[in-house]
Amino acid sequence: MIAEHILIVDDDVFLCKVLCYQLSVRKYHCEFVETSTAALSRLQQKPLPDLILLDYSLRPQDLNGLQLCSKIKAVCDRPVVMLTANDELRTIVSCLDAGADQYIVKPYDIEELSARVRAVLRQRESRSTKVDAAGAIGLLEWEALQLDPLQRTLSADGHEVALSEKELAVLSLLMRSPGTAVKRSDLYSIVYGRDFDSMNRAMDVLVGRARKKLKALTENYKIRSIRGSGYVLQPVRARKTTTEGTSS
Amino acid sequence: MTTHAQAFFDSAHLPRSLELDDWEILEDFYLTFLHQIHDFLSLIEGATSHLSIEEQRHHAHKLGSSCRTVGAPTLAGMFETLENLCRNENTDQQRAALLATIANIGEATRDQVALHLAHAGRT
Repeated sequence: MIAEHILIVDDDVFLCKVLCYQLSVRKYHCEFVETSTAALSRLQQKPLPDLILLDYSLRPQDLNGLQLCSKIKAVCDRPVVMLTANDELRTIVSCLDAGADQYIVKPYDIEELSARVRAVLRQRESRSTKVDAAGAIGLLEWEALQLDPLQRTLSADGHEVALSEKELAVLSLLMRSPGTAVKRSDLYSIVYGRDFDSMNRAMDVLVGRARKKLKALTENYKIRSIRGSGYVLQPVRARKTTTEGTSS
Repeated sequence: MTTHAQAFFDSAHLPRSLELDDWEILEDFYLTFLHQIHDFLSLIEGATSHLSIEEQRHHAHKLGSSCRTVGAPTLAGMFETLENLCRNENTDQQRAALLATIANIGEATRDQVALHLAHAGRT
């Protein structure tokens, strides 16, 4: 069995070393970086870590943990567990809003921390299996849009954009039910492999990214938010027709 | 100095909490801790105005945690107090006094960790 790889981002080298040791005893392969620049640079290289442990409080001159978490989520599809100094509601909410998959309050208990790491890695594994299952179906086409799960690309009119694993999962689900709203909770539980958490804005962030990719590709389709229902993928012309029909 | 007569460092704490008896690993942890304390003491030596309040808070936050982990609870408590003081801007005098104490206890703690390194490394 290959050891899962954890990247720790914290400017406290002493605690990084101690945490690396504690996790290595539990059969994880660990490395650490001290700055946001080093973290983002590391995430440009393969193999990517399976999980990132990110401290909320980096150096004052650096990005803060929340900013870095958002950037990490924008460049790679890996779970982030944030280490915070307190369990105040606003801290926890801000971590989850920034895209963190989990948080743990310091001083941490290593057994709790490793249990949370295991939980997040299990969720990721479960999600990957579902995405792989979707990928096994092959090329998905709807109108001018083509989604290639194997290449992880979305194409239209001879152009294509690369997708992250989660963006692929979102677009795949929306393209299977074009014109029909997919519930936010259903989308969340399938993409993230766990029950919907209404406080977690990760789904909105993810759909926002999928929207941008779609818009970069074509202006003819869009992902609309339907209040109380979820998200729907539809041609822009269909929406205009509906609006015109309603107003006339 | 009287501060040096007191025990500010519990050398059994880290091996016990990590269930670790590999001296090479422990030595690396202690050396890393010594570097951190040394760097901070250098920063607060003389004029403390080199550090902004936010920088003081950040160092205090990190070092408080490191001290607690390594087995230096007295210094850890002082850093935690400093961190709390940094949340209030009208604490210049209190922080200056505390930093002076931290410099004193920090040196004593550093010496005790260094002594442990020297002794344990020989055995």
